[in-house]
Amino acid sequence: MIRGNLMSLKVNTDLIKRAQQGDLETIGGLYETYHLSVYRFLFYRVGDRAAAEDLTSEVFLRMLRFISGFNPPSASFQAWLFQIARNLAIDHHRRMSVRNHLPLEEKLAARGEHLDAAVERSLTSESLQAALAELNDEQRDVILMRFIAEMPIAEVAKALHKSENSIKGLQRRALSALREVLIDWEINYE
Amino acid sequence: MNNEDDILQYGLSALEKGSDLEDVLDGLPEGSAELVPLIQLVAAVRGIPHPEPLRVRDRARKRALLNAAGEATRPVPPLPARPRLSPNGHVPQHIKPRPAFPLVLSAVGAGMLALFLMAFVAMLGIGVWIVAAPHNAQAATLMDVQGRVEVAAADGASWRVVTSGDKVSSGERIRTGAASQATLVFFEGSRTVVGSNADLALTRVDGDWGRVLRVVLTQNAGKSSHSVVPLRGKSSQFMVFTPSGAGSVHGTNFNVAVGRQGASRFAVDTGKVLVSNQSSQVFLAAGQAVAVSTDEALEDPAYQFTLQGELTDLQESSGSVEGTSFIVTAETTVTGDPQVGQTVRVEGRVLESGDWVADTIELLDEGNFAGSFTGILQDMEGHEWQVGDRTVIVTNETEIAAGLSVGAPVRVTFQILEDGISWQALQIELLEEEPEDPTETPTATPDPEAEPVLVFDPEALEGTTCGEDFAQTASLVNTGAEPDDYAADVELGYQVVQGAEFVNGITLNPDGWESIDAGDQEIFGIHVNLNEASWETAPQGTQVEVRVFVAAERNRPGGHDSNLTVTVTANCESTGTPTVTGTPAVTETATVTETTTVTKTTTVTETATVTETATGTVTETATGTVTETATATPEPSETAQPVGEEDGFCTGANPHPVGQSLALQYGVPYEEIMGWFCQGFGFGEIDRAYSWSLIYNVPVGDIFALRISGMGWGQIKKVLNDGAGSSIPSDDGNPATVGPDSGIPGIGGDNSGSTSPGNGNGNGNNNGKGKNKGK
Repeated sequence: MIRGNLMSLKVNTDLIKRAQQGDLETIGGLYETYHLSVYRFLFYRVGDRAAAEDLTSEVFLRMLRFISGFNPPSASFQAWLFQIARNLAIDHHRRMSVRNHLPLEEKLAARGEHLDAAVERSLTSESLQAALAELNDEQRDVILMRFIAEMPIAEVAKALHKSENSIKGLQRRALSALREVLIDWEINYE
Repeated sequence: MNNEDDILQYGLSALEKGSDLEDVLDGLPEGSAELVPLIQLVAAVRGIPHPEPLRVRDRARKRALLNAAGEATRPVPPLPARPRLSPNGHVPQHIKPRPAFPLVLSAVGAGMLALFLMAFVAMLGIGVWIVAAPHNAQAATLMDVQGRVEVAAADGASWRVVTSGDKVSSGERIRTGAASQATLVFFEGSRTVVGSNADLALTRVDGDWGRVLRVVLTQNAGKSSHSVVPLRGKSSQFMVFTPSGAGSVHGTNFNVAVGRQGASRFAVDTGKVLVSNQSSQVFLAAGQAVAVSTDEALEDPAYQFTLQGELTDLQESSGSVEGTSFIVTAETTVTGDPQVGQTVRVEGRVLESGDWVADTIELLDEGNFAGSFTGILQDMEGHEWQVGDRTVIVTNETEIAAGLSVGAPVRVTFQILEDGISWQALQIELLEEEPEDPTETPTATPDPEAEPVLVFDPEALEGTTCGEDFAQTASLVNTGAEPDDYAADVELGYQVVQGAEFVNGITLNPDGWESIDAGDQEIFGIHVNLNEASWETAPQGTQVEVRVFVAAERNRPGGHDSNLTVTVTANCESTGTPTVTGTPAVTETATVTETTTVTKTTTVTETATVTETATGTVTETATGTVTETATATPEPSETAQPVGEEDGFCTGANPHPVGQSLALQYGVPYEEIMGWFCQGFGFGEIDRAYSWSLIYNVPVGDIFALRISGMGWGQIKKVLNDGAGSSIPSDDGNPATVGPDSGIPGIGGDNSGSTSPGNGNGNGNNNGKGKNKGK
């Protein structure tokens, strides 16, 4: 299993201040720390590698653009960063939906055809992405943030503007929903 | 641990800390069997290889990011040379408040366009145009202060006398006394001369490196003259608002005078200025002027004249300066009670009829005669040249600009000869009609085969807010009939038609497209950033109106008339003195078929308050502020009235009270509501469709079209939910926060938009994953 250097940099108030002052080393460090988890989050969110790469760039450019307004220690940097990523993903999805506005049934049919051809009945990043696409936004986001970006409950709660208890409940329902999809599609994940 | 959620989290935490799956499962308390497959699933998800970006592109992105950050530390560039002039009209601006150390994209606009270009350029190893604001960009420096000049905060509560070298910051006001004036010098070299008895607010002064300047001035009285350096970047802006209208430029010299009852006059020396009021808009070319009143459509641009000298006559409807006559109208602004024999300065317009109409007559202390006028050079044979309908004598002493030809716009400075009738030209200047902007890419040739028709959908957005931000989305549709009718180099522009004093800035994102194919629809965001202090104290009902239009399109330049009118209404409790902000907005509704109304605050500044409990002993409250704008989701009215569904009839009460209520609720014409009603939709359906239109940012017509196609409302909701990804409305059409926060057990799963009917509690499935771990 390939793992990125998630959370290799401890983000604290001083670090954010240095980034706000334009310290290149710090900004580079933030990028190194979070770009992989952001990319993966976006890949599973939008289902397209190229788009995920582009959106990842945009996340960090926006980070650069707005970090001066970020206010540690009262705010969580990681949660803030993923809020940006999530917003961009929603925008991307909305644009794509408007451009290719198909009835739900047709979309599902198209997705089903794709699955028949591409999914090899085992859990892969592709089949996981397809299955996650069947969940609603919040369910998808909580799974991605918790188990792909490896964010703790508290961070996810901040990113999604919910209480920790809400996130715990959402987490359970999201996993159940995902499991049901995988079962329906006869995808083995053991 | 008293519920499944906590038990699941307990198991997942152990897994995350590196415990073996089997150990984690064994450690679950009794009765947790249903959680086993979920933990197994997490272990599987964590265990599969996840995608990674290509390393080469990843390095390029990081390099681009660091270049962007590095650019922010560049030294202040030298002030540019004397301006060249730009013909471009108004373009959108970024609106974020300038932070202490901002790092701002400046060259290619925000959003994806910037992203793609950034990545591409970075990969080529070329620097990127990402710059930051100079420290002095948010203030102007005072120069040449004469007489009494004072500056105050925006509320005008406390005035201080200023001298040359002092700063006037964004948000402050400047006023001048009689025989006084001052020059404001902006950081990149643009200048504004504030004349006597003037009152001018620096509503917004901002900028970035690379001569990106964003200036919004609100002129309440007096005269001002502006020399604007050619602005770089699409975010550049230089606008002057008056009580009756507004002018926006992109590199030009122009003058603004505010007279009685807020009437104003815009006159352009060089370059081009877009002038607008609530009714219409016109482009002024070099040498042209227009008088602006609040509630009348703008007249066609006219050439202008200036006369300075002894007032030889002044009647109710006419006057003369050293024998040169002009017309005085009820709109002519006269200052200083001039009498015959005194020195005055008269500025006015040369109408098509040949009449010279005075816009302003100002008493001066003294001065020799000076006269000038502009017009088209009609004849340049011999010693008597004709400019407009005036003949001037050209002698060897006349200074004549090179390159003059018949048909060119010129400015003639003249003196009156001893006969009292003849005018001798002292100087004839060529007016720069279409100066080039050196920063702009040369314009491509229009495609004569393409006839795009760009239409905004919707054409009106309305909403109320008490916050400093109002964000919505709209779309631009190319309704060209033929497949080849593509639009190219599309650029959006905007005008703040009303309530400019409350506006910090406007962002359109994106604000342009390289191409829009026939039939394509492009979505863009509109963000109105309001002045928090003044907006929150504005009387309820105060409005800001912004008109968005197609500022440029290559294949049918000037041929796109569709506008989007955005009206934001204040709904704060007024705590200050009510201020008159102009007459109510004239909303262009003649052809509006889709109107979206937001009746609750939509803010892009999301504040999250989170109570975080760690190990049961520490409670930490954190507030996170996100200043991102991209996905602000409008919410429908809290006051949505449940409307009983009616059978399809088209007469009944006139007006129908429910129809009236819905029209009021959603801010659309009553006729529009009844139009749907007469097509057979019940009021309940109409209510639902408009509500969902707001929630999902989908034109209401599209929603009705789905219904007409035979889809049930449940199916439509799924389509919308799948397409918009926002919250799912409850059955009453109001937004429902679905999922665990709803407090409605089972809602989250049921509204997942998933085809899976399961609630997640299943166990013991046929694939053998339902391992029972009961002890």
